[in-house]
Amino acid sequence: MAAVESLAVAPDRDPEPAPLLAVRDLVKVYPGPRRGLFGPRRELTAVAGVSFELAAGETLAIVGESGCGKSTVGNLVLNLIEPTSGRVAFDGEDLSATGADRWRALRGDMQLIFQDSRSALDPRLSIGDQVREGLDIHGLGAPAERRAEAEAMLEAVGLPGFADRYPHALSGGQQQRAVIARALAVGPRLVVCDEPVAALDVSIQAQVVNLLTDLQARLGLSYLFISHDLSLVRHVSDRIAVMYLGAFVEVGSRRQIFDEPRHPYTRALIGAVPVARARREPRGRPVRLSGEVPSPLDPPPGCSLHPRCPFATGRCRAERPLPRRQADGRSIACHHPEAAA
Amino acid sequence: MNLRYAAIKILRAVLTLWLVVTFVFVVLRVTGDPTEQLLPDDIDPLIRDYYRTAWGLDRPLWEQYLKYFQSAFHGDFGISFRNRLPAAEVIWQRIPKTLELGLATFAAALAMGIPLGVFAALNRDRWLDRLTMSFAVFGFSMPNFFLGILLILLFALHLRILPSSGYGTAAHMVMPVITLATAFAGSIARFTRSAMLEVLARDYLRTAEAAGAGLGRRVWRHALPNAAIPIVTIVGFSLGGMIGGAVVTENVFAWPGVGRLLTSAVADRDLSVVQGIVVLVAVTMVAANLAVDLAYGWLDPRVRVGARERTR
Amino acid sequence: MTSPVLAIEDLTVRIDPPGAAPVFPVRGVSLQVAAGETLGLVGESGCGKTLTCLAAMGLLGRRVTVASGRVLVEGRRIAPEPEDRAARDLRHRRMAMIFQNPGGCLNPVRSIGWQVAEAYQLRTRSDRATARRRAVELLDLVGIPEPARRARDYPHQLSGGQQQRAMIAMAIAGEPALLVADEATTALDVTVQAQILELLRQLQRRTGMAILFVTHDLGLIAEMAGRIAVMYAGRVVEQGPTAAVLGAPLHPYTAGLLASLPFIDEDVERLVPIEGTVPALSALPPGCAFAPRCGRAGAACAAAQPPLAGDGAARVACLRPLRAA
Repeated sequence: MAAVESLAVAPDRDPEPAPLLAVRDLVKVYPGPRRGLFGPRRELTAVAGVSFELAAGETLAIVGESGCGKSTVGNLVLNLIEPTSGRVAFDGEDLSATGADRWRALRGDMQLIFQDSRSALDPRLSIGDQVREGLDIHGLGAPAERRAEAEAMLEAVGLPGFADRYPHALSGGQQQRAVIARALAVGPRLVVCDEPVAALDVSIQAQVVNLLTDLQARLGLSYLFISHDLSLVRHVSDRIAVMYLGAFVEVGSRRQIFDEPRHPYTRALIGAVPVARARREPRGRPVRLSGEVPSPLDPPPGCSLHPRCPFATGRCRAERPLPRRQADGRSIACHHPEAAA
Repeated sequence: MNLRYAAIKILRAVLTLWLVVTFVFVVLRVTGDPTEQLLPDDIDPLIRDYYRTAWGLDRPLWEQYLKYFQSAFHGDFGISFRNRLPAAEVIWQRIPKTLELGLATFAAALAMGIPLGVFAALNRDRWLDRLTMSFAVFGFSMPNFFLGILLILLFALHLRILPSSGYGTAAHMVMPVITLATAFAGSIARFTRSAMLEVLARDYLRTAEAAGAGLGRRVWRHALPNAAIPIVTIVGFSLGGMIGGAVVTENVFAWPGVGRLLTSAVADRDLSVVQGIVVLVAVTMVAANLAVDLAYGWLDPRVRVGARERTR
Repeated sequence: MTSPVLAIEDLTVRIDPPGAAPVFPVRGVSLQVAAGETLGLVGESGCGKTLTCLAAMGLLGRRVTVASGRVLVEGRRIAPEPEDRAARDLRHRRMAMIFQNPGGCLNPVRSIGWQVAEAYQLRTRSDRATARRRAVELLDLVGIPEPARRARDYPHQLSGGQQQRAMIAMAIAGEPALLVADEATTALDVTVQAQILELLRQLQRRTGMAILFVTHDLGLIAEMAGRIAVMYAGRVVEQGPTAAVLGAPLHPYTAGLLASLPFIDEDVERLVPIEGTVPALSALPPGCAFAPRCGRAGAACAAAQPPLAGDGAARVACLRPLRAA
C-alpha cells in the first residue's frame, strides 16, 4: 500500500514550477491535563498529519467546523506555532531547519490576515504608520519613499487619505481594509487569511471579499483561505480542503467539492448550510450527522467521524482511513466514499 | 471533590509551612548570636557560654536545625524568658481571647459589609451607592489606633457608657470590635460591590429575568451564589490574619490577646515567644488559605466537577 | 390575522447615553406574529432587531426606555405599561427568549436541571417536585441523552449544542405562546445548527407556539421563517412572505443584501456589495436612512421618511421600490 500520497495537486496544472508552499505530514500535539492524580498526560492532537500544496496565484481554502484545527494549520505554516513534526517548504526551501534570522526575512514573503481586526491594530499608532512599519522592518525601498508607498497601499484598499487617522475612528470594514493594507504593503507572495470577514456585517463582507480577490489578481498573490463559511469559500477558492478533527477528509477543486462531494462529512456540511436562494437538489442520499464533534482530547478510534456517520461499518471503527488519490485528482480519506452517493 | 485538586493544595500548604518554620530558624540565627540579643550586654562571658551550651548554640547548624524542627513540630518553642513557662503555654493562654475578638469582628464585619456591598451594587452610581462606598472608604482608610482612641474618648471619657480598656464583659468588647470591624467591613463592602456588579452584568441574569424571576430571587438565588466565590476568597484570606492581625488594636484597648503578647515579647526580647507566635501566625494563614482553596473547590462546580465530560 | 400572539405597534425605543443626546435605535416598528407561525426578523448589526425583542420582553437596561408605541401579548398591553396586574405576568408566562451565547446564558453554579425546573416553576407556579420531574421530561424533549442523569450536570459539562438545547428546554417550560430566538444558532457549528433548527421546527409542530426568529443570516431566515421583516437603521423596510421577499425583493436594501451574498450551489461571478456603511444612530439622515447608499434614491427620498406601505401581505417602506408592492 502506498504511503500517504501527496494530496491535492490540481490535476490540470502543468508540473513545472515547484509549488509555492508544500506541506507534508504536519502535526501539532499539545499536552493535555492528566488523567487522575498520577495518570499519563493526555494529548490534544490539534493537527493530525496534514499534507497539501499551494501553487503561485491560487487560493486553497481550508474549511471545517470549530475545533477542527484549520486555524492551527495557518499558524503552523507561518511558524507562529511550532510544529510537533512535519515539513513545510516555501518556494522549495525547507523551513523546518530555518533559524530565527531567516524567518524574519521570510515574514516579508508570508503574511497573515485574521478575523479580529480591531485587536490587530495598535490603537496608539496612526494607520499610515502601521502600514509603513512593515516596510521599515524589512528595509524595503528608500526611507523617503516609504510614506508614499504606504499611502498608495491605503488607496489601493479603498482608504484614500486615511494615513493620518487612528484605528478607533474607522469602522469595522475600514479597519479590516487597513489590516489588509498593512499585510500587503511588504509585498508578500503568500497570504494566510484566517476568517478575514467573519466579524463584519454582511453588506461589508462583500466589499472586503472583492478587495481580496482584486488584489490577488493584481499582485499575483496566493491565499491560504481559512473559513467556516462555505458559500464564501466557494466564491473565492480554486481548491478546497475539508477538515475534521485535525485531518483532511476530502480535498478537491471547487466543482468537485461543491457539485459532487463524496466524503460523508463534506456532504453533510454542504447539505446543512442554509441558503437564501432555492437550493439545488442534493445529488445522492442526503447525509445528516448525529451527535456533535468529539473533543480532540479523546478522539474516536479508527475513522474519527464514525460515531456520527450513518454509513459507518466495523472497518471504520477499527481502522483509520488514509487519504487516497482518486481518478479525478481529488483525494478522500474514507473507507466507503461511494456509500453516500 | 476533585481529588487531584485537593491533594495538590494540601501538599502546597505543608510545603509552605515547612518553608516558614525554616525561615524563622534562619532569620533568628543569621541576625547574630541569640545570646547577645537575649542576655544583657554586660553579662559575664562564662554565663553567656553556659547559656550557649544550654540552648545548644555550640552544636553544628544542621543539628540545631533538626532539634529546632523537631521541637517546633511538637509545639515546643522553648522557655519564655520572661516568666519561665514554656512559650507554647504562654501563647496558648492568650489565644482564646484573640479568637473571641477575631470571631466577633469577623461576624460583625460580614454582617455590615456584605449587605452594604450588595446594596451599593444594586443602586449603582446613584447617590445611595456613592454614600455607602464613601463609608466603606472611610472605614478602611481610617487608621485603627486613631479610630480606637477616638472611640475611647467619646464613649469612655465623655459619655462614660463603655469601659476604656481591658477584658471581662461584653461591654469591653464593643469598641475593639467596632474599631477592627469598620476597616474590614469597608473592604468587604467594596469587594462585594465589584463582585456583584460583575455577576449582575452576566447574561445568565438576563435569562433569569426573562424567565420571570423577580429582583429578590435574582439577587439571592442567582447572583449571590456566583458572587460568593470571589468574596469567599478575599474573606478567607482576611480570616488568616485574625490571630496576629489585631496587634495595634489589642494594644490600644489593652486587650490581653496574642497581639499584645507579641508586642511585649518583642520589647522583652523574649525569643521563644516571638518565635512561637510567628509560627502560629504562619500556621493560621496557611490553614486559612488552604480552607479557602478547598472551599473554592466546593463552591464552584467548574472546579469541583472538572472539565467537560461529553457523552458520545 | 386573528388576534396575533404578539403585536408590536409603532414601537420607538430611546437610549439616553450619559452626557449625550438621546438616540432612537428602534423607530416606529410594527410587527405581528400569529400562533403557530414563524416570523423572521432580519437585519445587520445595529439595525435594532435585538432591542425590539428586548423591549417586547421587558428586558431593557437602565438608560433604555420605550418612548412611544405599544406591545400587546395575546391582545393585552404589556408595554410601555402593563394594562393591569394580570397583564404584568403575561410577559414571562407567555413569551420566552433564547440568546446567542448559551454558555454565558446559563448560571454556572446551578445544575441545568435546577435551572429548567426554576423556569417551569416561574411560569406555572407549580411545586418544586413537579417542576423537577417536568425538567427531566423537557430535557428529554429537546434531545439531551440520558436526561435524568444529565439534569444534575452543570453547564460547563455540556457542549455548545447541548447548552443551547438546555436553554430551549428552559424557554419552552410551561409552554409559552411565543419563543423569541435572537441569533440562537449563530455561535454553533453548521451541523449542530441544523439539528437545533430541526428541533425548533419539531417543537413548534408539537406545541403550536409562534417563533420570532431574529438573525442577520438570510439563509437561516429562508429556512425557518414563513414571513419575514427586514430592518435597517431602526425601521422595518420590507415585510412579506419569505419566498416573495427573497425571491423578488421590493426594497433596494433587501435586493442589495441578496446580491452581496455568495451562493454555495453556484459560482457567482462577482459579489455586488452595498457601498457605504450603516449611518450612526446619532447622525441619521433626515429622510430615508438608506438613501445615501441607494442607487435609486431621488430628492424626495432624502426629504422625508417613506412609510411602510402596501396592501395585503407584502409591504415596503420605499418611495421607489423595485416593483409595485
